[in-house]
Amino acid sequence: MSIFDLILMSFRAILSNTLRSLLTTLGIIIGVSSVIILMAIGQGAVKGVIDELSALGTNLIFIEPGSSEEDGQKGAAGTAITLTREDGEAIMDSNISGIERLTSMIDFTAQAITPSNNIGVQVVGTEYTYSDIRLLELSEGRFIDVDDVNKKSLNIVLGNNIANQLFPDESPVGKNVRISIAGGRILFNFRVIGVLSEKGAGVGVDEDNAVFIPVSTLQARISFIKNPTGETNVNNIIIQTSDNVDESIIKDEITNILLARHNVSKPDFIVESQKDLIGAASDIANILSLLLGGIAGISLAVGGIGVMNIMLVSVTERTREIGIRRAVGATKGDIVKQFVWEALTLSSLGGIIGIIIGSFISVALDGQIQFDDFTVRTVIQPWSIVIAFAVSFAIGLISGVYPAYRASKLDPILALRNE
Amino acid sequence: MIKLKNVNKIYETEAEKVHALKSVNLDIDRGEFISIMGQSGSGKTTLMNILGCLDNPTSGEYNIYDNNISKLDDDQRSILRGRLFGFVFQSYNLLPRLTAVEQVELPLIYQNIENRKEKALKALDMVGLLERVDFKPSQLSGGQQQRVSIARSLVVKPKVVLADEPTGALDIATGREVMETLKNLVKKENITVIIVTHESDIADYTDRTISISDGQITKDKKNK
Repeated sequence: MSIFDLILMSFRAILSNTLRSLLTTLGIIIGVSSVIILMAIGQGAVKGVIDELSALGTNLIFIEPGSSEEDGQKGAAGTAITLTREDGEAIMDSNISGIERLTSMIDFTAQAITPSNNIGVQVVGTEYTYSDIRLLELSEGRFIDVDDVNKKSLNIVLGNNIANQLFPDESPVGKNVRISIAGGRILFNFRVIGVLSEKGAGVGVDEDNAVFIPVSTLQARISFIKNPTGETNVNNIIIQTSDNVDESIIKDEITNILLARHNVSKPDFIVESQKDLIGAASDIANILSLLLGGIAGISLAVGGIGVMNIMLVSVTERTREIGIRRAVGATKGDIVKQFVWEALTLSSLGGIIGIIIGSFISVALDGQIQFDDFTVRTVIQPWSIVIAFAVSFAIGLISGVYPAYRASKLDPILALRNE
Repeated sequence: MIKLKNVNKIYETEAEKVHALKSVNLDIDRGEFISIMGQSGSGKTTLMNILGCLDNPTSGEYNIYDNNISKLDDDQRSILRGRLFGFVFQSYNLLPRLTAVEQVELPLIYQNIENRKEKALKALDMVGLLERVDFKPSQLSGGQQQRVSIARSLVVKPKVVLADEPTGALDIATGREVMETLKNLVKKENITVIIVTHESDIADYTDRTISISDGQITKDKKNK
């Protein structure tokens, strides 16, 4: 029996009961299309995460303090206060090749006060390099510059939202803003030198709702951010490298410098590149994607049970046909092939239709669903189509084998007598 | 050509043991036109199943061309069945979805034989059904359906055609036509035709009648 005969045979059998075949494949169609759609949503989330992390800048390496350890209990990353502005300066002074620029960052919440307004803000103390690293654009004025940092100036740059809230009707540049830290125990008057363009929500600092001042100003004026050795604690250090450099070498060199400076054998800090973060985030998002696909896979499995059910019914109904085929010389193997092939054709057809429908819905869904400021994106990965088809094919195989085995076991004499 | 030596067939069910064939000895030559006569339950269908390789004897020897085939496994029997035997059944046993020519092609599919359509048309021509080749069973009369099934049994050029009550579902006139068709085959194609029947006037068409009763051959006579 040739493969061509098998294909022809199974198509005839499927078409001879069109409605039933359609309803049977419907289970597979729904299963496969929901696998495609949910994986596309998962992959959309992956893409979203990668896009956001990429929007942080390019070629970045982040240094964060390690976790604190008290009585053997490990705290979360960043809970230890180990990183200082001087660490950053030491890294720049060591002239590691491939490092373009660096910024230390301190951030905390405070109140921003004008004669008419008083709002909560995130205060970010930075070097002048911050705007280049974070690709910030200004709608007015300028960012903190090297002079501001050197002179520890009381200049401030406002995030877009903050500027709009504090100065709804006028240009903020040149105006004064009072920053109240620690519940009013520390107060500074800053002069606004610039306003950022709107950036939108992203990962990391929400720059629309932050204000920026020179880190040196904080260092000089606020004593509680100094550690016992007199160095200034920072929340993190961001380094930008040139294109096409080996980040792992730079990370190793940074680690060695900081180990020596901190005089420890095990790092009390974390050095991670943007690529590491993107990798980790997309791993998580991929797991989410597979999880979603797996949930949809349950409906695919139900569809597979439907195929098996119909194949079993079909074998019972066609007992006589099986007897006739056996009488004219079909071996058990021929009968097995016939029924397995039929189940495969049914489920593969369902798989193909499901892939087409699922892809259409995924494309149509892209960007159509929104929760607050989160938009559901969909991305169809070729491998999700391959997986969906392979699974529907496998389901056809699995759900065809048992009915086919039953069919081949029929005694041809009894099968012929079956009415 | 066919030789049964001391063949027994015992069916065992949980409740009872049925001795369907008891020490059957039989010789059949090429080109014979034979009827096996018996009441229902006499064992004639069992005998036909064994002759047609649908079943193995419980004991005894079944030789075709001096080859003992009584111990073949299921696949070997399937292949032998497809090559050496053609079957004609009382209820025609055609597949409802296929046209006449496709019914006749069916045995060829399982033997990977080329030019199937051509061979099928030839077989349909032999039974005088060339003008009905694209009809499905539901569009054919009982006699025509039986002739399609005869064509199907002939298409593999079998050595033996086994017909189980081939006229049982037909009226007398049509039954005669079918018998004439079978008779002509024996003459023209030198095929052995074995007919199982319980009607003596059908048996009279054949050259030799074997009577069977209670699993034993009671009479084996040549007809005039």
